[in-house]
Amino acid sequence: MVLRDDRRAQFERWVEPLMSRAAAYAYSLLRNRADAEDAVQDALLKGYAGLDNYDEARPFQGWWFAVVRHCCLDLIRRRQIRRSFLRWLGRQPAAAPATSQAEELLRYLERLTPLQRQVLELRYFGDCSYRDMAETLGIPDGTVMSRLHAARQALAEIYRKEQT
Amino acid sequence: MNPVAPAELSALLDSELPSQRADEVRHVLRADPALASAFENLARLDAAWKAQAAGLAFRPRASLQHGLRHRCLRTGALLLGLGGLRLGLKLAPPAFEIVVALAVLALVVGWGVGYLIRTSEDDCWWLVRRAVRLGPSEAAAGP
Repeated sequence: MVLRDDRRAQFERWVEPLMSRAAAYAYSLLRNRADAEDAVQDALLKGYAGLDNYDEARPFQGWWFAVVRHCCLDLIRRRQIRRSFLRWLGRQPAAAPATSQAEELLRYLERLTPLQRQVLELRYFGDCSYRDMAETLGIPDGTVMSRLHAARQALAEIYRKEQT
Repeated sequence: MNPVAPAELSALLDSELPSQRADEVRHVLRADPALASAFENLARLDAAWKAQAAGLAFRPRASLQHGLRHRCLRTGALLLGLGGLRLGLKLAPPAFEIVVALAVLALVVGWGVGYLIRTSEDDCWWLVRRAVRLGPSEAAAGP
């Protein structure tokens, strides 16, 4: 019992400083605040349940963001079923309006390839280091570096086109 | 000194280069105005994107304690329901079985509909409006 309480306290200590970043990262994937909160809640439970699989030699943020990412992708799959049902009832999907500068950035990110988008979402919304990103995406650090640079170049190009 | 790879500019920007290599890259930047200009441009855009992304950070209404409590309650309710069902089937007359079967069916259908319509607030209101619109007009158009 004491061991389990210690483990839980340790998990909460690790997770606490990452909550806002995890929420922003989840929002960048889901584009909906309530869904982002649901995904983070789900990730807390799954992360705690799977804490035995976490190797302390590896960065915790990268590991937990992988859990958050998994929960978000799960939610996206479930949301697609719901959207199909609503479409079947005649509901036309409405495009989300760009209400803030962050939304504008998200709209530009949508025009990148999925691989480029992945690293930029983790970098800007999750504030992840290269090691964290490598851990979350399961790729080598060097790949993160080159992919991030290519993604920034592509995003800069989109910005230039939008500004002119 | 090794030439600077383009990706190293990003890594320098993110303070992810080993210190010795970072010094080498900075040295190259001082000697190459074109490369320095490209780096400054990237740094300017990066700062703007970081500022934009920061506007999205928020404290989520989520906690491990709340999640665990919710899961315990759900499991408890399920066990209690199953126990009650077993006891009821043993003790009650056959009519009870029909009531139980209908209750289980209502639960399953309710869960399924709830799963499908658990969506954004806008979509929920759209469903409500549609249900309200459909109800009277269908009744009026009926045989």
